[in-house]
Amino acid sequence: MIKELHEKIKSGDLTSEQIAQAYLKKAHAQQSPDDVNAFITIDDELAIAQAKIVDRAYADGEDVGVLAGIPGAIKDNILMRGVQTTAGSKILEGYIAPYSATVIDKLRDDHAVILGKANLDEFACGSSTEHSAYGVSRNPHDLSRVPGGSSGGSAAAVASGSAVWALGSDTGGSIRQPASFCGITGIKPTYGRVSRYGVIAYGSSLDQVGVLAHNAQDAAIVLSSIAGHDARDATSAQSDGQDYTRFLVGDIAGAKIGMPSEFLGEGLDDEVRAAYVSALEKYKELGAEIVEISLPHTDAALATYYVIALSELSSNLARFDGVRYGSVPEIDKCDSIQDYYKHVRGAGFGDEIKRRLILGTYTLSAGYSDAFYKKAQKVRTLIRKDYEDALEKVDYIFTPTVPETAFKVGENTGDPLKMYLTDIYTVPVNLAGLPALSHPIGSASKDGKKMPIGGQLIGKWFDEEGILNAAHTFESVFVPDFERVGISL
Amino acid sequence: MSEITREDIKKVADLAQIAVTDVESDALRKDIEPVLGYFDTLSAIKTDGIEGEGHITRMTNVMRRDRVQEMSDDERIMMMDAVPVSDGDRIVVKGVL
Repeated sequence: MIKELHEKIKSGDLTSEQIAQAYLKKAHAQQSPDDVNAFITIDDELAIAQAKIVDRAYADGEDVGVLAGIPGAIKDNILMRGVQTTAGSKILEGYIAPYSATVIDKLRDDHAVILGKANLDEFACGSSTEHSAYGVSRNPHDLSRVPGGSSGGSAAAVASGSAVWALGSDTGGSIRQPASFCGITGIKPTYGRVSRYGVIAYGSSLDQVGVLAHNAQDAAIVLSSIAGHDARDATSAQSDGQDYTRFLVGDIAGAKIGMPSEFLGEGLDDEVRAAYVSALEKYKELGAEIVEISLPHTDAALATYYVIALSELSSNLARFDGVRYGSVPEIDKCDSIQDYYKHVRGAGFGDEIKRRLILGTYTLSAGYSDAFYKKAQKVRTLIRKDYEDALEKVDYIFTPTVPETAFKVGENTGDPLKMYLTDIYTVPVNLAGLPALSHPIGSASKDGKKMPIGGQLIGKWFDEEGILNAAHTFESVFVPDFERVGISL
Repeated sequence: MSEITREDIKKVADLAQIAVTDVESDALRKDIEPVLGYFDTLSAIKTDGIEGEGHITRMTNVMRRDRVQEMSDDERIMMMDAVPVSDGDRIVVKGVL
């Protein structure tokens, strides 16, 4: 879709400004609590100004690149200078970022147009966007259902045609799960592939910025823009990013795809299972060899993930104390600085964040950190080893992305553990630091509506090109049976 | 695992520096207990002789000199604008001692 729009701008059929206007119009039209509600901030002025620069460049005969003038959305935990960044939390309401994340600088260098900031679960903690202080986003395929999370606003914006692409962040599935629920493609790169500088941290050893888009090619274009080493992120990989579109050859004949038996047990929805089996069949028809593999510690991954992620969260969120940023508190009513912190944090954080901070503090506290945090780190080693061994035998691992399709708004909010279980197939990938993407593989009929199903392709460390090419090849033979919405200009 | 009490929650909330009411504390206890029970399933996994993994990429530390860095006036103004309570170029907080 990006290439088509690029060709139209280049040939003069459309201006970048016209495209931005059309997407802004759609974004605004859907911006209400009963509608898709994908954004927290829509910045018309900024978007149009960026688009005009692109149009001027083309008028001057410059070719400014394939992403130039193509409008996208940014998850609101990524800092953009001069624009409000809330992380979906009341504690950051009105916070204007004084600098931009590296990924934003890189997108700007490529003249991408940014429409605004997309909704998310507070501090990226959630699987549905229901934990945002700015209202829930809704699934464009059925507004009574969630778009997934935590990058739910990003996914809903792309799936509803109010952004061509979007950036998300993925700590335990927060790009792949909403991509699956919304019927689009979402890639979480290898840990360290994309800079985390200027991204509000959740679980620092797990967080990674990635892309949500209509297809693998669009995801590859945006990833090419944002990937690469960044001296300002101490965990950034030394290797440079590259033009990932060069690897989209549309052929995976001879590739070995692993099918982990542990992922197909109890709790997997029948229609998701059927779509997965038929996707495996398609991969086989494309010339891939399907190999049964075992990832023996799969059952332990979810508990391991939540212990590590929430421990890191409790440490990362300590900085939100009302001193350097945060909503204006009633400082005079507090007796001491401790009282002040507690007051600011008690009033500023939502219920799910409080729950997670208490859990994360508990698992790190004296007497429990050996049993929880240190134990989880050891199990993490075992899980990484499982994947290392499996990826010596196969090129990719293919699983369902989520055991189910999008659930109803409100369905899981009363049962945190049930909500956490929707991440069961995605979290091991973050623990191992591997790259993975979700691409559409079918749909399930729910209340008379076709709800998308996603399949997850996991690659070797730094083999983003491999999984993108595999997904791209799959797309060439896959016709989605759910509705796809774009904007026809 | 032993039962979590309201006092346990209050103690941990105190460590996490979050003010919680009794009602909140009871709700948190109800939500948290099954999750901690689930976390406890890790105890059944054999990890004798296994090194813990804090970071997956096994990188070495990035070091820099500890020296004052200048920032642009622009950025300084924007950073100070974000401060909830300030006095000129200073951040106002409650007395620490």
